[in-house]
Amino acid sequence: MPVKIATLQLTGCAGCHLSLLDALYDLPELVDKNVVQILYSHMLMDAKDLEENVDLLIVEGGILKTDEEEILIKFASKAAKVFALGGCACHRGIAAQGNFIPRMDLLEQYYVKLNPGLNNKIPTDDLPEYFEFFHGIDGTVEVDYSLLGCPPDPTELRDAVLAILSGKEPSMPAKIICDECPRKRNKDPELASLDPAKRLISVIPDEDNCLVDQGLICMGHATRAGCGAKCPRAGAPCEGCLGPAIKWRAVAPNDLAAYVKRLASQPGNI
Amino acid sequence: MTNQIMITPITRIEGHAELKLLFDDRNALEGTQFKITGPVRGFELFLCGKLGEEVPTLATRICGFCYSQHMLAAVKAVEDAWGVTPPEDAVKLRRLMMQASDVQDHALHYVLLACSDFLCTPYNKGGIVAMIERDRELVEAGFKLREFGQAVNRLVGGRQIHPVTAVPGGMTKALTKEDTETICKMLKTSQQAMEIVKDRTYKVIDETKKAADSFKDIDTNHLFLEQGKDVEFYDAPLTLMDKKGKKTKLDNHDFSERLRKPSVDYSFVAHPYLEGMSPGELMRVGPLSRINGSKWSSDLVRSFDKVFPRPQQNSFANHFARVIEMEENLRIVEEILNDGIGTHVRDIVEPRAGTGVGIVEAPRGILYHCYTTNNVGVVTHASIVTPTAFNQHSIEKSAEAMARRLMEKRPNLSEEDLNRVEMVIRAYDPCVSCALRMVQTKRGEM
Repeated sequence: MPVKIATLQLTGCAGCHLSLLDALYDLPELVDKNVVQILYSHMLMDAKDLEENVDLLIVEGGILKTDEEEILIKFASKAAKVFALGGCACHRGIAAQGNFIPRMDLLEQYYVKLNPGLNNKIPTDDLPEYFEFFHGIDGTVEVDYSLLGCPPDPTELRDAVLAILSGKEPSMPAKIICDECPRKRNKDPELASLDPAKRLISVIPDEDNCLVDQGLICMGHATRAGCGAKCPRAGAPCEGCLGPAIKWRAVAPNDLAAYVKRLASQPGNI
Repeated sequence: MTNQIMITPITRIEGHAELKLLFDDRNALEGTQFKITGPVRGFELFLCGKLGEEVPTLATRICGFCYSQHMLAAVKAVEDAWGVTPPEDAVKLRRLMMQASDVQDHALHYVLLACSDFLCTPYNKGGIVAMIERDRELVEAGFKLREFGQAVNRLVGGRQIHPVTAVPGGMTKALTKEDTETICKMLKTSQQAMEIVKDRTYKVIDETKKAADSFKDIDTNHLFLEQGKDVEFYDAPLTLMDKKGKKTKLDNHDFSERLRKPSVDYSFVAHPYLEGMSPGELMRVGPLSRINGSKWSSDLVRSFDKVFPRPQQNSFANHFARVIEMEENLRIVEEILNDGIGTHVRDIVEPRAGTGVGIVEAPRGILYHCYTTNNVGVVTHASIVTPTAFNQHSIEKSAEAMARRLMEKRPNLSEEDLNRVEMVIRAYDPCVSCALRMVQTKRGEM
């Protein structure tokens, strides 16, 4: 019996859907061999509604409008398990940055104030209504599995999906990004906090040593492992998109304190 | 009383959009509304207050389909504001990434999703699953081409979706010898996959042509980065082509000044136009616009000219143009690699107060980012217009033209007819997440 799947996109960027396609590079075979059966995915196929029950509902994106809450509740009621995929579905993601501005102000600025002379209005004709806050899906439906990442790393996502397809719980590493990072850490984090923070435009870090030691702000040691430390490997500091580490290394709180000092010393962050 | 038909959701596109058809009491079509119902996330607002160098990695999150293009348009805009010229090797890396990402995106939209409009019957049963049943070899070729684009994104951008390496002054990572070897090896496989895609494109060309000839599409202006003999999506002069094919070069900053974004009441995305153009005059962007303005000369281009003589206005020609771009982009990627890319990919730069414009050709057309920063490089103003925002009004008019034509044959539109209308929309490959960030904002002017 194939595992019946539906995927639902709420407010997100579709990146998680693409990461899912990257992860399931053998989708043609999985479909052909009747391992999975996709019943709804508006991005990938033509079904306009979810007409029968599914084993797994994969949700990308968070909730920002009332219609999203409705469709999520409706779809989840037809699904045995719900999988929250990516930062937005799990705990708000990048769009939550808009939560710092009152929603009506945000829309008013968007449409009206900055387009003077155009008679612009906030569009309302037969359109869904906004919530004040962009939020994850776990407050609306029961979530059985979740995987953070912006988007989740395809290798990790593949392991998670294959585990779920075979009826197992996906496992999460208890390590932190630094454990996967090939860069060498030389300085004590508390001492490093005394160094002034450097901006990414004003330092070209070497390839061998820790980005923090070289003055940059990298979230690696407060972040759960799972991606293979892709960003630090590419010379870019970790942004923490995999979410907080399950078990923090003892050193992490000191590092975080160092960051607060460093962040405060940067223009624009006070 | 007004009657209406709502097509919702429009399938096989990124994000949420609907089409509303409005009829009067004698069942004549009164109008159409292309409604983008995905919400405004507010990127232009929360990008204000961020450091200029943080913008590229945040802006890439605007879209999960054309992340590399958003990152590069953003970094170009910040560099323009700060008067920075990145090193030559960094520009080569960015071009490599831009062209390979286009292959990824077109492989997804055309090969895996849209192609079933011409390969699969009955209508309304299209999409990736139907395609796997119908032509698994083609689907696997599509996956191969995507894999190639994603590998380049990963090796140049640090990660395949939402890359992180572009920073004002260059790139944080150079290609290693092993990286280049990996790309070259994958290039061979993707060129074989490309042959399969070409073969099927020729097989469905009659169907595509039939769809194109089944209605009279709209005539519009076209906006693109000037395409010479080679495809160039990263940096070329912005050009406007009128309906007769006459081209005018536009200055990026003038364009920015003239860009207007009037809201419409039924869609979350405004209908942008250029001040100085007559009201209601449309401006399209995308593969069709690019090929209309290009001097590309491959065998595929000659075949295109036989089926769709240029300047071409029919939206369905977009699909053929996508295939041409995939092939041309693979060729350019090979050229860039053969040319060799050095390791001097970054310079240290100083921020300064200024306004910068970054325009690139995303898979769906012109992508515009504009930022103003203060003297320490903090963003004080952000404005982004995406290809689907530019195309939105044209999509609506093309869909209306198709619906009118179909109603001449059958006054009560059938489900199959409605899918025909959706096919026109799909030919534009709209990307809704992108389109939703187009309205400009300014910090501190509440």
